[in-house]
Amino acid sequence: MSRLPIALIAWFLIAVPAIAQDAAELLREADAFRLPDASVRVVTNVRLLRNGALDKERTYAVYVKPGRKSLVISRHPSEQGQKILMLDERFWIILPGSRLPVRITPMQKLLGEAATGDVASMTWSDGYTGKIAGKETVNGVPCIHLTLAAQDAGVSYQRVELYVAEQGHWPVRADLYVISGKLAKQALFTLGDVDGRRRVNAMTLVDAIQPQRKTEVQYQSFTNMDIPDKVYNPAYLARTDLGDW
Amino acid sequence: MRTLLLAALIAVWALAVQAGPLDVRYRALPEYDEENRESPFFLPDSFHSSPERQLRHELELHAQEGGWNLTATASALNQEHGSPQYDRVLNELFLDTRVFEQDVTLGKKVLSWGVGLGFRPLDVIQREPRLDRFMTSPEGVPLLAWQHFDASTEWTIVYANPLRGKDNDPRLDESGAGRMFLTLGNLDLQGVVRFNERNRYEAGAGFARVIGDAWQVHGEALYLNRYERQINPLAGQAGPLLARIDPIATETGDTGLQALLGVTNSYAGGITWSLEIWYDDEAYTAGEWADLIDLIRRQRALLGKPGVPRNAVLGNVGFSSVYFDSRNLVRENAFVRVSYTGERWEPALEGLFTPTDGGWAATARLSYQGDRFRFQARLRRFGGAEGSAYRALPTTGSLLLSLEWSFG
Repeated sequence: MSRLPIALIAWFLIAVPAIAQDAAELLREADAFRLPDASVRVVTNVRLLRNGALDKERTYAVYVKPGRKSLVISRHPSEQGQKILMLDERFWIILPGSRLPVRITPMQKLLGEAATGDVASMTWSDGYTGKIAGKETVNGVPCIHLTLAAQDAGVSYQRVELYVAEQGHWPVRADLYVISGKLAKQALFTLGDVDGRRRVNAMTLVDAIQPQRKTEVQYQSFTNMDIPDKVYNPAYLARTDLGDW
Repeated sequence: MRTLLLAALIAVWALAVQAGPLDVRYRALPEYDEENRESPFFLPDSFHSSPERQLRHELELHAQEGGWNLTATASALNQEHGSPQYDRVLNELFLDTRVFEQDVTLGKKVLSWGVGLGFRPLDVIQREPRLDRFMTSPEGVPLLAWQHFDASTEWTIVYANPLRGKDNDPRLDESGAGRMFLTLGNLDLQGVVRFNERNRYEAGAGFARVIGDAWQVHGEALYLNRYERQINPLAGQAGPLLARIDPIATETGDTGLQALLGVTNSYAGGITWSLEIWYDDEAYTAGEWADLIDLIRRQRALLGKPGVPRNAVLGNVGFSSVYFDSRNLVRENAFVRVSYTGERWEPALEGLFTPTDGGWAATARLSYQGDRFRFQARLRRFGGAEGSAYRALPTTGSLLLSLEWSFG
């Protein structure tokens, strides 16, 4: 009888870190299907659908650097010059027709057209800690269910229920929950060949609050590039020579 | 000559970038101003050129390739009375590039540094209309700028309006300026200094801080070693009521201050509200407005008196209207804005109050953003206590619409 507590403690000491480590490793593997390790420029097409009909279409150039640094530049004529900079959970925007970068709150980033935030956030392992919650089959794919908790209080989605394929560990579905605990969106991922690699080449976001709204995000190209740190300086948003490097 | 120069610049630019992506916009801007016949400053049509109704057509060209940028506008203005007026503006033509591993800018560019919504003292080089974007495209200033960036710091040195000296338009004054910007977690800081003949030197600092998910606090202050205002010396004096020539004189003040403090809060439902208070030494005091309005009333009382020409009286009234050109009419201001941000629609209500004289300006805005069509409406109303600057405006309000189509 006296050996049982010792065995339990030993199990906790050995098995729990191993499970946590597995979750972290699974997250990194799932991230690798969305974004390579290096700094990259992702050309992204976003189609907003309402009741199945195309409501809006936008193209963005997203410059992503490890360490949760993202710069989203709109390529649409009506949003010419619009840039959104995200460093962790800090945000700046330069609006079309302006050369004045403005500091905005996480809440302001979510107002209006929120798809840019979903476009720019391409990894989980940087901002979330995960634990394995079980196994489930999602859309016919046997999956490992991970529950992710945000490390930072300012993150758009405080909790993510992520399902990665048992075979290959690619992301299949993510349920995105806001701070109130309400399910905000459901993200469904599609694998495809991008630049000769199996990667997530599309993400469909279904709005849980307004189910008639759907956002299709297509990752058109990934270009590895050395992005200088200064590009992620908010003051640099007013410059226009981003294509030079 | 200016047209030829503009055309030549566009041609040079087009050749330089080998016809990069172009964006053309057409904008129609109908405007209606309601006359304030109760205003002491109100003048009959024959004495001023501001029509009640006008329609402006604007054709704007935007192009960008690498660091090259061009924005040029051609416009036609149809007024209620009078013949159409045509104009063209080279809003921006500049190159952002690197020279010897340094970031430099050369050309005509909009350069804006302030953090406020309703007033931005730190816009020492360029004032950018933050609330009236798309109603009018700002015109930059010729400049040469050197910038150094790292991940969190920016240093800028600017030489603006080279070789112009002191211009009639303060925006075009030759000046040298510098800025240091620093972002530290949830706090952005900046320091600004500017040297020119008009102000000798100005120095200021600003900040923007995000608190939690939804709050942002911002502030800025600028010390002016010297500043200028347009003053009617007849106001507040017991001397003659009428001047034979334009009496408006430039008054130079020592050690001025401009300062603003503001807060913004947003809700998940889409509502954002902002509150700002500011002070501007370049503006007029409530007492100066009272003196001016008293002068105008006494001048008007001369109408119909024997030996006093009507034109002399109304001309004097017209001279004093220059007070309304001040960036802020009154020194002390409070501003509140409430807006709703939807996917395409953004309505907003704004109120500007001048507590020392009891004046106010209320603005309702509505904007719609389509794929290639943008609509904006701005409805304004002025009022306040008897003798306040906003109540004395020669218009009681205005309605301005902007309908814009993009082709690109």
